[in-house]
Amino acid sequence: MNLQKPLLKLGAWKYSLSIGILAWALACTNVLRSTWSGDDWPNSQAPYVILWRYGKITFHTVYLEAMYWNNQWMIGEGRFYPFTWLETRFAFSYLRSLWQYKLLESFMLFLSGALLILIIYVLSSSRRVAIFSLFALPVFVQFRNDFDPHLAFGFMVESLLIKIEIACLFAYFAGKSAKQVKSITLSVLAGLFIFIGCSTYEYAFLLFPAVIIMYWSGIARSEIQIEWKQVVKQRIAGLLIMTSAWMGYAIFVFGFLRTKAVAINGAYVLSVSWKSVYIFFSQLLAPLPLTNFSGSDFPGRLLGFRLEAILGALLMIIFYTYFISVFRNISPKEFALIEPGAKDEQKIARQNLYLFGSSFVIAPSFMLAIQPLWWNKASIVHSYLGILISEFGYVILFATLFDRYLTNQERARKFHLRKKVNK
Amino acid sequence: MKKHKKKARNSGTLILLLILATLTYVHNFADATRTKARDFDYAGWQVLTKSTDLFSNVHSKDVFISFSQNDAYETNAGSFYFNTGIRLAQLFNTVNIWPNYGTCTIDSGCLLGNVRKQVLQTLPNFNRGALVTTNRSEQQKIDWVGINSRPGALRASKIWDFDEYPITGSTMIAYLALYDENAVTASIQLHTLRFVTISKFSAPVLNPVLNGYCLVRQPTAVKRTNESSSLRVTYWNLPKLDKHGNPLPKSLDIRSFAVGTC
Repeated sequence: MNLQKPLLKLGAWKYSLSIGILAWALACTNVLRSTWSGDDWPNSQAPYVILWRYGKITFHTVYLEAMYWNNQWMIGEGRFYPFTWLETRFAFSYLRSLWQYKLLESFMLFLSGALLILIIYVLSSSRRVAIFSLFALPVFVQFRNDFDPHLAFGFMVESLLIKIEIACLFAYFAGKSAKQVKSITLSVLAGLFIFIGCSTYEYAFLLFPAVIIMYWSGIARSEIQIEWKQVVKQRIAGLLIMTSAWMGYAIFVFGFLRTKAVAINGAYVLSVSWKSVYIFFSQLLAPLPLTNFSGSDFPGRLLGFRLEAILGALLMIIFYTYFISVFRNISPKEFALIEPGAKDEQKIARQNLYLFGSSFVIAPSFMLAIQPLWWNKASIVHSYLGILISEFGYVILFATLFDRYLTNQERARKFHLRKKVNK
Repeated sequence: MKKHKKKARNSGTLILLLILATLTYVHNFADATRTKARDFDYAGWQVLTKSTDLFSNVHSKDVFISFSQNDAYETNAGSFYFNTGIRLAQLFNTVNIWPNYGTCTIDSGCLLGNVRKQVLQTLPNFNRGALVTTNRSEQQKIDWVGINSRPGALRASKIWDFDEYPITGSTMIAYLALYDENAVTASIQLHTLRFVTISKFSAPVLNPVLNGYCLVRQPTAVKRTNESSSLRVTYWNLPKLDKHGNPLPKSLDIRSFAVGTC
């Protein structure tokens, strides 16, 4: 296994990577076409309200405003998400023009996708899976009416994803590192980002398994031989640190804040019924491609193209066509970072990818299933903010499955070749 | 033969990816603009507060009472201050001032409480007081609501009835009038009423009617604004006499306020 090769010396696949990045960036540019939406309307008013109430917009008054609302939600609903309040108050206060905010929003979406690809690359040790994921992103990320995490809500979901993705990377390298101090430091950082992620949006709480999968994957890849007892101590210490951060959040929010909250209602009331089962499965399907298309899209809306749409679509076609032509001419060896013979390692990597992807797909479905507010609303075409997390999960599952299919083909081809030679 | 089939299948998957990516791109392109439903309202507010002289008689510490007040959108004291430079004591929602507004009907003989008394009673509810976290005393010192909640702080303030809302997809109306503080119920002084419409240039100019009085267009009323060159501001006046030749009443109960087009 060789993960150390610099990316730019990787030959033809670097072109695939560049084109994939361009395709993903192009997909993200659609965000720029939207206007304030959802919670962004009131959020966009924040600087003016601060100005009116306190007479000036300074770091201090913006901070006071963020903490005021954080307090309100803690006392009322028992929620704790100060990072969202801080990020949105500051973003809206200092990026007041729509284009400035939309640029940030597009960038956050792009970055959350880019970090996902990095995680997939690290987890799979396969350029091919990473590349497939990159090209799958524009397919799975679909804008939706009403509750759209890509276009609104102060880039809250993207922000939580970025933090959890960073926690995942720290966890992986904490597991992989043989040096005790380094491993513990990375575990602390992972724990910190788990807590910050949860304090950005509660969905992060359900993504803890993804962090542990990364940690486990790192441990499995650890190359340096050290004493067994030390390894166990180090690994358990890392696990305890990350779990403490997660549990710390749980105890603070569910054990303390929620028990003292005075007005828990709406989406924050949790329960389970038979309807939860339907909601759970409908939300498993909701992130799949084309689910958001309706009869009115064809031919009417989609054929009423504007010039920019035609140009964008043409670019998309060019990117994918180029990728297909490059892909067909690259030998599987050039894509693989794991030695072709290392079947077991490939198998473990794949299993970890399935688990990691599934945790992303399942978490939002589970969350909606236990919120009575959504029992009569959610369906395959109606979803909520967590849909972005599920879309990312499906990207991983798709890329892994397709890679597995191709690997099997290649093995079969080799087997037949050997058979022919023997004959 | 088999090899070709497999290669074709692989390419097929990738071509499917290409088709889906292109379709999704175009779909997202179209869906991104679905969020633009409020753009006219937003642009109308910007024009109203930046490019009209509807608020030329309004001063800092005055009070607005409005059905259009909505913290979720731009119709709030903050946005008003930023755009006009006038720091209202508050832009209240009418229902906050008279919580019984919905049930207190004219037909039942119910009277809405004195507007000034209601304002002075309601304003302290908007004080953040104990809920601020850090530097509580400092914050309370600079909190505009806290400052204006002190006794006598609003003695010289005028109280205005204000509303703005779209009547079609391309025309919005806005009006402003002083409250008649001596009236037995919540009423506006009709002679202080100022009325504007903001419409897209492509839309026909609709002549508003208020409680049966067809408004009269001001001669130099049409103005192309700097804020949005595609919007037109039109100023309107009340007629001197009603259609029977009688003078208009001095005040009008806010519950009987009805706007339409002639």
